[in-house]
Amino acid sequence: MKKFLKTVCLFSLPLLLLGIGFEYSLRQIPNPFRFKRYLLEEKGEQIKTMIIGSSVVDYGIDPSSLPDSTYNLAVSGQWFRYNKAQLEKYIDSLPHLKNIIWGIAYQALWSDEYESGVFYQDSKQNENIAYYSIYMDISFDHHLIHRSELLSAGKICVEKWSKHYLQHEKTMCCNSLGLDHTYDLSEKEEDEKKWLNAIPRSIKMHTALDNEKAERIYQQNIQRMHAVAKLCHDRGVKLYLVIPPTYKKYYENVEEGQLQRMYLAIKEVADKWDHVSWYDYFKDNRFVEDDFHDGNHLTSDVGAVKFGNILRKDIFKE
Amino acid sequence: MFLPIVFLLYWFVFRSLRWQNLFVVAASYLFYGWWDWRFLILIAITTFCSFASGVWLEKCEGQRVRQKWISASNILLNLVILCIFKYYNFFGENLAELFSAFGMQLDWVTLDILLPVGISFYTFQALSYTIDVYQHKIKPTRDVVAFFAFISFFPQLVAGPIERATHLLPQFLAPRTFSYEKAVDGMRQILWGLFKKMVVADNCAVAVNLIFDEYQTLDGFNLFLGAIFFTFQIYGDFSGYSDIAIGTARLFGIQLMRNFNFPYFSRDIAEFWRRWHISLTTWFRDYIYIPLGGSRCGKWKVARNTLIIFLVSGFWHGANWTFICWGAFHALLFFPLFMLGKNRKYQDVVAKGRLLPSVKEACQMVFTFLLAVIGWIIFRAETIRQAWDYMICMVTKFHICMPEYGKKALVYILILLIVEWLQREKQFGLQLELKGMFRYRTVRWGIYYLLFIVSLVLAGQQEEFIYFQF
Repeated sequence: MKKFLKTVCLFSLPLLLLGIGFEYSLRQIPNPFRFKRYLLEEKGEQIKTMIIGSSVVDYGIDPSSLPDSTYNLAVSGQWFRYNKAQLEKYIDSLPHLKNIIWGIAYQALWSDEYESGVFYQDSKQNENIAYYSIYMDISFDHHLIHRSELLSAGKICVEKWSKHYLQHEKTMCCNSLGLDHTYDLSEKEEDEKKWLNAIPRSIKMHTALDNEKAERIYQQNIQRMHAVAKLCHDRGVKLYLVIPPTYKKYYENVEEGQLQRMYLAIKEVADKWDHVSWYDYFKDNRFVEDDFHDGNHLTSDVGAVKFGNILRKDIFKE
Repeated sequence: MFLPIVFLLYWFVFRSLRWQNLFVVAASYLFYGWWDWRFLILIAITTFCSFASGVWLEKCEGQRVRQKWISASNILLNLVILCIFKYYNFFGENLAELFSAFGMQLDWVTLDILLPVGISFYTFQALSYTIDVYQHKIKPTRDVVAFFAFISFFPQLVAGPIERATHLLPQFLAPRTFSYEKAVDGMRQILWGLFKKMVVADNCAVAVNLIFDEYQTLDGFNLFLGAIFFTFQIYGDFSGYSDIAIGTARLFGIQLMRNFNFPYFSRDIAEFWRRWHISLTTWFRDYIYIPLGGSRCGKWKVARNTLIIFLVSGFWHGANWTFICWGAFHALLFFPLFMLGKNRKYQDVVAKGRLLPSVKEACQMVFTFLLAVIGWIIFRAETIRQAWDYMICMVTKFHICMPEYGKKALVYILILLIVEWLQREKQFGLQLELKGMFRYRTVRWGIYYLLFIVSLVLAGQQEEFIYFQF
């Protein structure tokens, strides 16, 4: 037995050292989580309007098209749990904050980083949970796996490491106001057939399953919306709930029932709070093919600018 | 963290047999309860009833009729539990559909029932005990702790191998000693299992999900690749789990039975079934096929018996017509071999002692493999209609083109095939003999490090083991 334990320890030691070295080098790589935290902490004094939400606004609303001092602080794959946590953590360090634009994706009300079994082939988003914990200092648990990029992201972080250290490519595409340019028009799938074919799959992945867990998360997310609304109310901040545009093939094929429940939830929050208003662009036909990177994401350099201009007119009446 | 902690406590803290068994039960129940603690009650009921029936059978020694009733009651109880949790909705839905054809609505017949993880595995293990005791193949045990450990032993609890009481139970009744060689071999088997699961199966899974989702828009070649990917996904997933389970058990001084013997190197479908999910096929052979008369009766009865075990085998996998159809498909492939008396032709390893197979052997293997691939399409599809459409699209839209998905997975499959071909005379892909270049620890460790890092670096999106749902 002693021999076995000694062998296991001896075998594991180089792996452990390699792992620690790898984890350290991973943390030196620029990433949007750290950058958004930097914006919140270093530019906090200037922020008057902030955009929060998931990828549909991270790539999809250009803050430079909106009034001055607007920052896009949305994070791809960030759902209500962390939208709320991020706001709670930083709202008191944003003295001039007047408006929050909260982008709500079609699947957002049923999404939670900690849950799986709600969507087709979904899984718990360990890597995002770890990123929030490591780079934004927001965590909901003490699991070791959520304290390490290597343990939580595995293959993804190896790809990231290789991209940064071996291929010398960008791992973070945010501009100074926080708009993520990963979804620029030039990055779009060239084969039209391919990106159109991917839409039904996206819808399938975004359609909540009819189960107890989905219902529980839906209710929890409504409570989170109310909590954010209250937080804004207490600090005199206006909250704009925005449903970003989707491509025709996307909105024509989504589950009408899920869409109506999303509207119902948003309306319920907006009706309860005077400082909350909502804007629906889900089926807005002003957006054309080049405005979209895929079925439910705008292109960062074309669609996001157009959407920003529309929001400026609708929300800020400019 | 679970395995190292349990391992250390098992060997260093709980040293006596009884304490070790008790600890195995506690660790196994903790392991199982992690998914859903409510189902612990179910497994406890199954275990206790099987144990009690064994004790009762012993008490009624000499009273064959009474013994028959006792064992039949326990078998029935276990099957009823299995049917309620696994098949209730299948029967309910089909009944409702049948009645709706006559204009009657029976919506109330389906219930929202969760399927307990691994229910088919531990139920079959428990059944084997009752039948073996009844048939006097094993003496019933009075050691309740050992019996609970036998049913719930965590490495094989949720996805097998389905152990026999005659093989596993005695191991829980005798003191176990730690063997360095066995433990190291177990670690190698775990590592190989991880590679098969994380690199091969999980990477294939990504492509399979995409291809089966979009099969109507893809060309035949990509659909063919999708079927190939699923063929290796299910193999990597299930045999990978079996390797992990067998390797883990060896760390605890327990020898589990072999579950896979390189099935894709089979020369006909009968050989495939001797090499695929061995613990289940032999279970059906011993407890259904032989009691029905086996092959010692007229040809038509044997054919009937064969059809029954293939259909039951399909149905065991899940409450869906696709699984039954998959079983029937394999029965159809098996019948000609059986009728010609060639179903036992290939018993040894293909191309034994040679590096490459003969042309004939290669053709036989490819042909058998393609038949298995067709079967897996039926198995993977959500409905029989989808399986049919998939195959029609695969044939009618076939033309050689670039793969749309899973290019990397093809490389991993190739690596798997090469390694397993070279190791086909061994128990598993990474079983190394300490001779030649493998005499040197540096070489062996180099391979382990490489495999370990590759398994982490190239791992696909984490997918739950497919067979957990069975």
